[in-house]
Amino acid sequence: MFGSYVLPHVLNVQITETRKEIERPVPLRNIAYRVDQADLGQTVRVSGEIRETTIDGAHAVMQAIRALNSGVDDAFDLEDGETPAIEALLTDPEFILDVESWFNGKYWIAYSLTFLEVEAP
Amino acid sequence: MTTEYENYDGTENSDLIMYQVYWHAQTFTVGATAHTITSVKLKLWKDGNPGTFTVSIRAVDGSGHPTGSDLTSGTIDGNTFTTDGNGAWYEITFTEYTFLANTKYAIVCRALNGSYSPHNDVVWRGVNPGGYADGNSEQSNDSGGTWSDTGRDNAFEVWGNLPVEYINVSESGAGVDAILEVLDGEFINISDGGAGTDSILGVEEWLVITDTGLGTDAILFQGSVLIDGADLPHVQRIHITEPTILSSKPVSGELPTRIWLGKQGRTVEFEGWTDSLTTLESLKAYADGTAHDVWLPDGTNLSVHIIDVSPQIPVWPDEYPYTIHAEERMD
Repeated sequence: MFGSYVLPHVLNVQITETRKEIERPVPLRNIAYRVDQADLGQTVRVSGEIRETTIDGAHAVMQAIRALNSGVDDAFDLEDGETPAIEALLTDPEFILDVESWFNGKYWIAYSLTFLEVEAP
Repeated sequence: MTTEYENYDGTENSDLIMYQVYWHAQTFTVGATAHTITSVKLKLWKDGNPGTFTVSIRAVDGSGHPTGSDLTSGTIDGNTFTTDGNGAWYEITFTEYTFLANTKYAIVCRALNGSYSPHNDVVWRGVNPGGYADGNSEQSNDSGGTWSDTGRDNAFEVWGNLPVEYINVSESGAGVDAILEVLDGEFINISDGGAGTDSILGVEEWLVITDTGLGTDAILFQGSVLIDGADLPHVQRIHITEPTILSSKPVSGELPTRIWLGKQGRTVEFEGWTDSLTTLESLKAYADGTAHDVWLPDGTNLSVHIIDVSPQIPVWPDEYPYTIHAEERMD
């Protein structure tokens, strides 16, 4: 769930915790100088499917997801009962329309979204 | 709504009379775009009361003469025709039939209940000598057994629709459904004459068919992929991305400062194939640096630049895969 929006039919979640470090190669040494600089927070990649029975329905859900890429951060909760909710920005939405999933009342669109953790307000 | 495809309408100066075994035909050639036929319009008049007038479509042999049995046909009451020798246009409706592109067919006409004396016949207006380059007028004196060129051309119009491609149909209910025609594995002509539930198992094009069970089925061209109004051939997959422009500055001891700067606009990658090298060349012409209008199957309309068109090495004979990379632009 992102804010009050429930992402449809989530099939995969990939969480990456990333830190930023400063790296300087040192001449004639076997190991570079590295020092931790900052926490970049979590990057959560969510993949799922829009599953609608009408073209208009599929279009409306895709537009709703696109509208979340607005620069407004919100609470992102996996709702698995364990992973704590984070404050996040939604970025880089992707959609895939496949001919095998687009006929006779089956209008499915695969999507993937990237959530970047930000400081809670 | 049907469209007029092939036609010929010169300055008519010729009459060809049809009754009993004396039949007449006009051959014509379908253009580069395959289409169906739903009706023909012919310029006709009558003598007396010729009764039912039958019009059909037949194939054409290597010598340009009608051959074989009727592919589709329709009738009209010839008694209702004008007696004015200049004739008038009459529409004869057919069971819809799909033509192949670049193929010659014949409109075959007869008035089986007509007679010579007294005069009860139907007259087809035409031009002598004919000026239609893609067919000719034919006559038969033995009910369509043998044919000969009259050297003329008759006034005609062929009306129909664009065909539906690659549809797999199953009928699980009551009533009479028929798959009327499968041509070259590409064009299927579907009729639903009864009640019950029809299902469509697979559609390998961006087409949508609705079946209301009873009565008429509607074939909707909703869901096509269009560039500048033209159907993109055999699109299999569409990948849409909408990158976010973000400023991200690491901050020691806390999460980075991220500032959302906007979006780059959508990039759309189409994967499909075509069976024509000519079509492949025409697709490459889209990468011309100008704005193009794209419709996606969900109804989204974008103004884009086509950045690249990439034909690939054929996987199957006569199947040329391609990818088209398009980027949204400010319209």
